[in-house]
Amino acid sequence: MVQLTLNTPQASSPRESEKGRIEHEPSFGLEELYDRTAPRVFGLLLKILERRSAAEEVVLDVYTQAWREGHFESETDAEERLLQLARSRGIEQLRNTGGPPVTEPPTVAMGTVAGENKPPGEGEPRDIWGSLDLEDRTALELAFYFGLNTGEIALQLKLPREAVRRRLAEALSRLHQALQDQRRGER
Amino acid sequence: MRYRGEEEQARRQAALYALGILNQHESEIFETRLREGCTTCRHALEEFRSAVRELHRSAPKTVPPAYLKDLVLARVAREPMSPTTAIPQATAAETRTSPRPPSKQKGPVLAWVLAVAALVAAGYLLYIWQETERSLQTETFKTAVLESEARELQGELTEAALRLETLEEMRRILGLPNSRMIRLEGSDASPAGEVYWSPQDNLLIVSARLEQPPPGRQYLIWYLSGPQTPHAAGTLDVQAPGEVLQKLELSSDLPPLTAVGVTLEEVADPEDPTTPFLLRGVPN
Repeated sequence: MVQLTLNTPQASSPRESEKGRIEHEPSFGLEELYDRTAPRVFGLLLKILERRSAAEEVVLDVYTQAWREGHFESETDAEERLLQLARSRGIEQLRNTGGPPVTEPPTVAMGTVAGENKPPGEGEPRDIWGSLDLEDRTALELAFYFGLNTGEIALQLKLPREAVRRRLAEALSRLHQALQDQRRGER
Repeated sequence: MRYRGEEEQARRQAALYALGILNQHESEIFETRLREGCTTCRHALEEFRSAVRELHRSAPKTVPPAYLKDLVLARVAREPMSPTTAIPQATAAETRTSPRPPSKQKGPVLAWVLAVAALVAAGYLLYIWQETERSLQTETFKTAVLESEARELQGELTEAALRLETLEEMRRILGLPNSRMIRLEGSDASPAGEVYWSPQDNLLIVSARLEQPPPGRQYLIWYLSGPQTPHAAGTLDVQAPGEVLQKLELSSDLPPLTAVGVTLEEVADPEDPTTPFLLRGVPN
């Protein structure tokens, strides 16, 4: 476990063990974590909310919540938790402020996420959406970025709900496969 | 086949669970299946979670404004320390607020009575506040559940409306002079459904009974016109009770239809059927 601290990262920070002794556990600084993760967290929130002011508000909540949780398995785990929090809070915010788009499929979101087929640069997101066909991708984007359930997606795409369920499972399965292929290629 | 169908259902449920779009009731059912040792559910969930983790990282990076970092750090600085470091702080706080040793000098009785009354009043107010808070939380939770159920019902209503629309379309096609009905039959000539073809609208409506396809496979319906290359008219989606009711739009440049066939394909979009026809039919 690593502990989140407010200031400069330290090698370790004091912790009272179960036996009452003071032990040291590895720690990392919030500031450092913010510098490393904020562009990705903010980018994800902009995709969901499409408004900078709303995204900024949620960024504040996300890092405050991470601070309250305080401990993570690793720094990677902390980043995953931040992104998870960002998505769920972003969707919550979207629903509270009038909800996701209900008349048009999110063509804007699709254009910016999946439309680019350039090879990713260092630290850039991998083009995993490119492994999906348009219909599967649309269903998955509605579920992932807008948190729509199968009934709502069926409504937007004018498809039976079972077809939506099938599309989502197939889309995730293809993404998983694409990731495995990509990792094999990197080795 | 039935078992495979259930496996596919479990995979689909795992996908929705990994995406966090199941309602509370459905999530609990899925979690129970996981606890009961459903290996398909567990494997599918691991697979789908890894894909969802990557989706989180797929949004393009955008640098937030510089002041946001200062705001985050300032807000966090006002928060209580994280649990482990909070221990000494809490102890210090307790020390600060611990009652002083009782004075040997007795105060006036009235002061004691007032203090006790103030304590009772404070306790009562605290109780009222906690009760209000609790009932507010319960109501919020109930509202969230109701909203989720309303969304589910809306989905079911849409599905029923789509079904009705397809049935209406089917009735309309049957009334057209050039329309044809095609009986679908299995390899043993057993009836398996019907296809309604409207050449003037370039439409096929499929009403058939099929089992859920095995994982990774899908039913495709083929438009056949004599010796020419078969044309894939679309994927058939099997609804939970094993029923297909689907409208498919055809391109307008197809030659006249001489037969239709249904195959079970492993490949996503094959140019030709890669497996034998499970069902086949010719126009009346």
